[in-house]
Amino acid sequence: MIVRFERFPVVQSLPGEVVEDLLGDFIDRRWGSRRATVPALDMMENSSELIIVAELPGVTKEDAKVTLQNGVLTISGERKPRGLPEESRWHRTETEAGTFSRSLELPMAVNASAVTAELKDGILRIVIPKAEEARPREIRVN
Amino acid sequence: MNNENLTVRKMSAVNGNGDLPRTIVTPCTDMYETPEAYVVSLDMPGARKETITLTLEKGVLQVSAEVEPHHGKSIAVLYRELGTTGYHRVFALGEGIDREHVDAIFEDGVLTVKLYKIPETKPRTISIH
Repeated sequence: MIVRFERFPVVQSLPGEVVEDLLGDFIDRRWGSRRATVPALDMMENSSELIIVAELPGVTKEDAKVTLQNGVLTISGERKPRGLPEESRWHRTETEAGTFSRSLELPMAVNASAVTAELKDGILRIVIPKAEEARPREIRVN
Repeated sequence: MNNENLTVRKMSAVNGNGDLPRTIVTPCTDMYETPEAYVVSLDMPGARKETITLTLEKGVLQVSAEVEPHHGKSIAVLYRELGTTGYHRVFALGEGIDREHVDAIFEDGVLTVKLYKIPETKPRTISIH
């Protein structure tokens, strides 16, 4: 049976977060929300790797952190606030500075010692090799 | 910045993710004004630097860019929140900006554009005798 993947199991999910998901980007843009400080991400796989791509605009390599513990991947860090030069005034501020953290339970066993992460142009790309037992295996039919 | 960069790129050229629909996102923006310039910063994670275009005409600034697709064909998507194939935003800045004096830098997925004012529009302090 094939079941459509509706929602990735987030480690911690409060009712408030579900409401934010339903209203989506509208809330983020109009009023700002906690979700705006959580990086949006995609999770993909090929036969040997799990690949996670997250948007981290304005975050430097030094301020981004990726940890993997007990099958839970955490992307955290800080976006430093933009300073306003003297004798200047804001016309608009839509971006949100501050700390962020997002945790995901990985859907399969992985080789935690060989994870790589790269942050380029505001995109964090994490490549996690699957554990041997999670890789597809061809079974010979006799 | 030379005039070659100040041309409008047709957004129909943006189709980064293969069969997926095009999603042009309005980038979140901070803007402040200093005595000599306007500084506009746009969040454009994943934008390809060589596709970023800026146009400035009659006090209207247009910014657009294409996003590098990150899904290879042999990759299965398990969970998706991203899907941006491009960015586009228009700002009305008013007159008084020096077209020939614009700086732009793309760093950490943020495009920062500094548009210098024509000197006459800078505020002047008039002393009272």
